Amino acid sequence: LLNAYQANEESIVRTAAHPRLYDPLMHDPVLNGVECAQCGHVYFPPVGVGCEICGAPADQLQPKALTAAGVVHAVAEVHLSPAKTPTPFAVAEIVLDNGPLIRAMVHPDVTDGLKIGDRVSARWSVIGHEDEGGDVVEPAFVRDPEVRR
Amino acid sequence: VSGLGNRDLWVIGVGLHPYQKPSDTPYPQLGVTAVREALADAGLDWSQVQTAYTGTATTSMALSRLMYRHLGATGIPMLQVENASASGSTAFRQACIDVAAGIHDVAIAVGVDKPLNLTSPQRAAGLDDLVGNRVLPVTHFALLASRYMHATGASAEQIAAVAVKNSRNAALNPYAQRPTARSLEEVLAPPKISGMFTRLQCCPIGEGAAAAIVVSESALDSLGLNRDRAVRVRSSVLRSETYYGTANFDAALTAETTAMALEQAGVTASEVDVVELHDAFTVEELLYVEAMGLCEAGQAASALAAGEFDIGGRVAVNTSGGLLSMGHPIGPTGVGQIAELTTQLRAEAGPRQHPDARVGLAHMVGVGAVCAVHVLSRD
Repeated sequence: LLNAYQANEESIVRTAAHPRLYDPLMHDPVLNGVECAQCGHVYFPPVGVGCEICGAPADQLQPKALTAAGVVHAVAEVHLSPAKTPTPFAVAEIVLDNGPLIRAMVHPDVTDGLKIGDRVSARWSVIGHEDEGGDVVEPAFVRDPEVRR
Repeated sequence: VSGLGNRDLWVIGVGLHPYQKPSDTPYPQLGVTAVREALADAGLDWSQVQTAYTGTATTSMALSRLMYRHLGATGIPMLQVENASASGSTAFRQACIDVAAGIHDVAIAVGVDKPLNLTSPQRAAGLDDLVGNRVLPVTHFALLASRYMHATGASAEQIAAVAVKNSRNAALNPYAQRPTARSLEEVLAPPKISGMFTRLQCCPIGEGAAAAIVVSESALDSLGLNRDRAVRVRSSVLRSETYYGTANFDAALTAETTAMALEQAGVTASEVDVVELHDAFTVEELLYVEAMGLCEAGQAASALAAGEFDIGGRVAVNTSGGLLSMGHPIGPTGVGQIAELTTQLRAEAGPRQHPDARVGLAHMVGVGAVCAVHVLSRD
């Protein structure tokens, strides 16, 4: 809520490229996951019909906000895409701190490539513009600054 | 013990239409070519085939009858079996189950496809993730390859060597879509597709057909079939993905499905002589030979380099050229594996014959994910 409030204060108009998966008005990306009330399994992307682990029905699958931070599990550049996205770009599998293994875009600002084992978190990446002037955004992952001791 | 009941099952005839780039050839022509070859190989007439299972995923609904009618409309039961890349394997399994259950004594499994109608189950299910439609299946395996290299220390060149071996085998296979033996330099040459994968490390999706005729023990005798050329179906297992955490699900599913198929066949991994496996992308062959227990975890790249998976090696892998070089027309692919194993186990593979091949294993995974494994042997 605080983040959303800050975003409003900054008068930022953003639209989600994938509206079901995150709230574009948050200051930093937070992912819309679900947690099974019966077995505790956490999903992203969210599932809505039933739980893959225990078969619990939809009413047991409860929204859970997932911090978009974790560790790189796998990474690959894409040179041939069926979409209009300019190539090359990179995608990564990331084990979120909340548990799920997700697939996401590497942020275009990452010029030296992510490595397996890197700690990462998501920032907004602008991938288009609405006619009304707002940015179309998605979360994309960047390496966390190294903490020097 | 086979998981198919107590009846003995035999592959008595196999046939293929060459795998090729998409062409104007209608699918009935592809399929009938493979069926006629399998009938001639078995010494059977179409009128003796009692039921037909057609593995297909990319052509059209209801395609069976418009193909089989050209062999003579005999009124037999026929239907399509769709299980993604494992469609052909699953059609073969259904033919085995049918004969094993005693419903029929002569069943044919046919795989046929043209890439006319490629669909996406994720899209149909309304699934969306943060990457969406921006990547092809190759990127799934490119991610997997990055993980495999990280975990095992294998180099991109060592993984690319899978395509060198399989192209060498395909050069000896008249049905292969990519019949040219390639050097490592050629395999590594651009264009890059995703991650470490170049074009020649990705299988071609084309068209083709394959057929395999399964008969009961009693049919072998009553129809006067050649027992010396019959290959025994020792087990058939089909599994689907469960939850494996962060472990690679294709490899985990392959491991459990293969273990069940070997147990039901009464053989150990070390007794397998020839393997046809799902090498849609080079890294898969290394992952799966490890998952199957054909070599130690993390050792596949060095075993490959030592020639252990060559024709004439410790266990020959993808003697046909595999999906990478024989091709992957989807529906036909799993049935084509049965054709290759049958040919190897009969010692009829000519220049690509693996010496003294007695036990063969066929493996396909399909998006979803499912995994089918069959174990065949000569008696």
